[in-house]
Amino acid sequence: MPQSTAYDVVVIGAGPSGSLCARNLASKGYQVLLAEKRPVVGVPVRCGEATGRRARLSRFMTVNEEYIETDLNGVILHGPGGVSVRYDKDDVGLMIDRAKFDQDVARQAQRAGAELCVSTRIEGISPVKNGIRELTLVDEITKAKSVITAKLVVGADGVESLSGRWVGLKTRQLPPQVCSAIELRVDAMDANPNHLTFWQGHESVNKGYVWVFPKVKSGVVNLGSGVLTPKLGEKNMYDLSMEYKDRLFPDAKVLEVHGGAVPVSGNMEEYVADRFVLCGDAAHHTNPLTGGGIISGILGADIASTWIDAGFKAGDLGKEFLQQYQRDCWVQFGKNHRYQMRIRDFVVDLPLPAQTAFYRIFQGMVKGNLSMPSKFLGYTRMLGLAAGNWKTTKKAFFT
Amino acid sequence: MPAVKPKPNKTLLLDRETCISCAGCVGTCPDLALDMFGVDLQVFQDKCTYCTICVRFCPVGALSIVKTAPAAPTPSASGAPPAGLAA
Ligand SMILES: Cc1cc2nc3c(=O)[nH]c(=O)nc-3n(C[C@H](O)[C@H](O)[C@H](O)COP(=O)(O)OP(=O)(O)OC[C@H]3O[C@@H](n4cnc5c(N)ncnc54)[C@H](O)[C@@H]3O)c2cc1C
Ligand code: SF4
Ligand code: SF4
Repeated sequence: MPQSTAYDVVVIGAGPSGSLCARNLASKGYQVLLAEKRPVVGVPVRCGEATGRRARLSRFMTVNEEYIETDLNGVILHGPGGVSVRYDKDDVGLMIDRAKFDQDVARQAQRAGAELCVSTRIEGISPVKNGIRELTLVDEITKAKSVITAKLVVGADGVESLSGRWVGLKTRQLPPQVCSAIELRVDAMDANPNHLTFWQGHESVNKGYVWVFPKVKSGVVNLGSGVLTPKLGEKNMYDLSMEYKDRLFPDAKVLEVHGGAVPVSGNMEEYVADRFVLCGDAAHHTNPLTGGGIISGILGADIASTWIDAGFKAGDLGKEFLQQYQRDCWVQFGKNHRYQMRIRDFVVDLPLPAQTAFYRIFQGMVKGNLSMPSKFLGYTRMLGLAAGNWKTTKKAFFT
Repeated sequence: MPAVKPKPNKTLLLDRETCISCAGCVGTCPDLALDMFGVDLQVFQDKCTYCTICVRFCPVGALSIVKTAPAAPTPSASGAPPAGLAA
């Protein structure tokens, strides 16, 4: 149970974005409660555990070797028509142990002075009264209810977020713009232990991808698949992942099965209210092309904490003021996410021959030693922008 | 509050053996009829409108909607199937 009943900021959810936001605000001297409903932070893991480069992570925190599993130096993408794209480059990203990572960030928040309460569920948020919001809190062990107050509430409650909906924001995960995903922890090691491997396209899974991510330190691989919400009766992701597991690692044991939802809708229109902000998965900050949400969640939380601090200093925590946080996120990654979403929809909508051709071009670009990310993004941005998507292009040219 | 409509003779069944507690379905439900307590998914049958969204979403196929006999007793809030349904 929390030690006080009145806080400056209550952060709901001790995922990476909630903990980071709590850390930043606590270190600026605010009285912060970080409420997490699970008994242990980060467990169970609902994540493929691949993330961006060391340098990106170290912008926000000291990277702790304890949770690093693999230094990645390449990506292999198996597309349709047998076209495979292999990209080798040092330091393209990291594999991490998400449970340890989440716990590390939560510890940083505690060290900065935030109060972390596990097994503590927030069950409701009142409208603003006299400059505060009241939160109903349930102790998950004793089931005792209590009420605490906050001058500002941060909803970082992840993909299952209800907090935004309690204050009237439209944050529901709307199919099909939410990925249904499964991940198997397989007791085996991949042939390319420093590469992320993906399968995408009409011949594997079109509206999503299958992944194999090796965790070298632990000697296991994460094999998973995710797809935009399927139609009723379509194959579920568990069966698909098991097919790949049987094909790639026939004799290996499945140690754990995890799953979850990945918001891939791109930036939402509105995710702040009076004395309330959302960040991380709850704000749909996940990258809609890759489904990666660790780095963008952290970046969003970092921006949120800056504006919350500014709001406290200006004595204005109203919706209009906090909208500056939304605008900042839009500039720093929202716009980019929209482009990536267009690329995604463009590739997914291509029929098999065109998709294969697209992958060939991509392969050529990578082999031609172009600086892959910038050139590829540049080209596809143009394509995506010009075409909007394949259906409209087809209409324009072929009918 | 909207007027209470008569409930269709349906139940949202959760197969607890299959469910992996991923909580993904919670955020997709339009009617706040699902919530995750620890590793226990709770189905609030009184809120469910049987829209099938969570059924489509579930990555392991743990959710299904079944027709219940008109006289079937109201299922409990825990999502347990009404008596007589367990095959
Ligand atoms: C199968 C799968 C694979 C993925 N793979 C990757 C990947 O490889 N790389 C990557 O970058 N991203 C990946 N993601 C996405 C990534 O996991 C999320 O984007 C990330 O966890 C978001 O962090 P967050 O802090 O916003 O939310 P979360 O990490 O989900 O944290 C939210 C926290 O809030 C708590 N909470 C919820 N409601 C309440 C409440 N009412 N009261 C108190 N606490 C509450 C939850 O228990 C949880 O701990 C994957 C997701 C899935 C499902
Ligand atoms: S069927 Fe629809 S209303 Fe019922 S629990 Fe599932 S998503 Fe919610
Ligand atoms: S989506 Fe399926 S597996 Fe995940 S919590 Fe809901 S019922 Fe369980």
